[in-house]
Amino acid sequence: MSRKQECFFLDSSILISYFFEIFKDKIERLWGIKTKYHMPCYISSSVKEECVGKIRDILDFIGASILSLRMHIAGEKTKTQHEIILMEPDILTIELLFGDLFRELTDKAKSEGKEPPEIEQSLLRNLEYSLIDFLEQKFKEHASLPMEELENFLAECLDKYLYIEEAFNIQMRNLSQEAIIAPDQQLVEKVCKVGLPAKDSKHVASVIQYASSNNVPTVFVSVDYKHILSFQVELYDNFKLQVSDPIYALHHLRNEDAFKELVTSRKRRVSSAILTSVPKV
Amino acid sequence: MSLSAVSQSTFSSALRFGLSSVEPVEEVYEKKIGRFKLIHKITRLVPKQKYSYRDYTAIFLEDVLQGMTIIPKFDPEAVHKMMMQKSLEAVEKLGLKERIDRLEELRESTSLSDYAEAHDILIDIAKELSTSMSREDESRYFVKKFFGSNFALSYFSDLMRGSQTYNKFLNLMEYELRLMRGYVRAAMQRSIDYAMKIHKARRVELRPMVNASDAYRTASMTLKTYVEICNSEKVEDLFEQKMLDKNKLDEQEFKRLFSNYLIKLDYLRDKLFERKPELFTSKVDFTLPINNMWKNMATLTISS
Repeated sequence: MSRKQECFFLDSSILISYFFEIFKDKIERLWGIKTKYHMPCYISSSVKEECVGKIRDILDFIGASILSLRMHIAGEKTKTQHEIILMEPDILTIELLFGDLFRELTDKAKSEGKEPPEIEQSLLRNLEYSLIDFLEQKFKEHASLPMEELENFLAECLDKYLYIEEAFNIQMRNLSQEAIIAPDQQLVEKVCKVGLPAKDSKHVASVIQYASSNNVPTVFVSVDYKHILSFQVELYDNFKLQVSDPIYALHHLRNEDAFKELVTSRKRRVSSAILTSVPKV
Repeated sequence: MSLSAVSQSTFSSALRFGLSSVEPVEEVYEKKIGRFKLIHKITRLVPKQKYSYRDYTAIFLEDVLQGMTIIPKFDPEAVHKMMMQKSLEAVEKLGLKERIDRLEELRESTSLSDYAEAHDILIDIAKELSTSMSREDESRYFVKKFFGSNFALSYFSDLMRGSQTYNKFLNLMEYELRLMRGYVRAAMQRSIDYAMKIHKARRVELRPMVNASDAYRTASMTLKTYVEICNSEKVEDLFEQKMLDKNKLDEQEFKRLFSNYLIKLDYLRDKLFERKPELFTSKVDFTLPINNMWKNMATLTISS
């Protein structure tokens, strides 16, 4: 019987970084290891789902924002015009309407008792920049524009989205292979208790399940420090799963015993520090 | 009826016709050259079945309606009749009626040249419809649909992805059919049996892809028809311009039909990718403004 090969599982952050060409050095290093050692790279079903979902959510966000903008512009303009025409000064109307959209986002978060949604705000900022850039280009050619230009902008966003989605899926196929895993809900909850968000817990639980049922050295590779990598020690301590940045991934695979020792000694140090810090009665 | 809806049923007829079983038919050409009569005998492979646009459309629409657990509001027969009527009206609007009528006439014929003419007309229709709407027009069409609805934009992006995939399929089929003709013609030089063997082998090879496309096409039309029925007051309103309200749908049924649509679409994409990966985009230029916006937005979702 052939021995199952050690492998990497990739996080959505790796696939997105790879495709959109960010963290280039790290990703190229990972790609180099994969090629040099013929290292199998897998993605769990949940990671695949998350990648597709993330880009899709952005599309829906763009759609909803442009729809709202269009309604507001039409509302403002129909007071004075029969046929809605956009002139260059209307860019300032758009500025105010974007301001309203930002306020809506903040108010909504406030009413739900949440912090201002930073990601949505940044998404909106990007959309605002692109729309104004698009309209400025059009105003260079025409003094006035029909309302349909908003449709054209959104149509271009949609068109480019479909190209991106298609290319993303092809790159995902080239970089990794899907391991169809339905993670055990109890395990997901246990991972969640360590402090990971629900979505990431699902990815991590899938890898734990794969590694234990196949009994192969496995490293979950990510660049998400905030939600995954900062729990590296806890995840190893509780589930014997190594999670790592691409630059350390191969070292983790080859030196798991050393990492185990490091985690244990750190744990010992932490518990003795706690003991010494307890005030004597 | 929308262009995409009617074109899908027409494409299917053309392709099935092209892929139907063949039989050898001997054709005799006589030519007088002075006192001599030149007799030239040619044996060709021609399709056995004589399909027509109408037959295919009727069967296709029956399949579409059967795909729904329940057909809300209207009598299924009335829906079928109306869709059939709208489909034929659309054919007229698109300037295809004459060609479709000609196909109907050719249906009764047994002449080899008539078979060839019918085949050419169908391929011609398929080609024309597949190129009738540019990608730009199509994205504008779906954005208009989005503005006239309360669905998320991603719903329409999935419909457009389907339509674009179907175009890839048509391009590939056109290429494969021409290739098949070439192979069969070359094989005829050797023997008819050999040509038939080649034809059969090619058809068997293409069958999984054609089956995948049929399944996609039916799932797609079933989904669109369901949304139309739920949003129409009377049968006559089907596929007419209207506001599409997702709250009028039965959530479970819509989810089932939508998920079935996505499964069939992904399967078709996989089959096409296996056959010709070059049909798919693998590189994106992020220096273009909108692509750059996408890059900036997508990378925001990564926490580091």
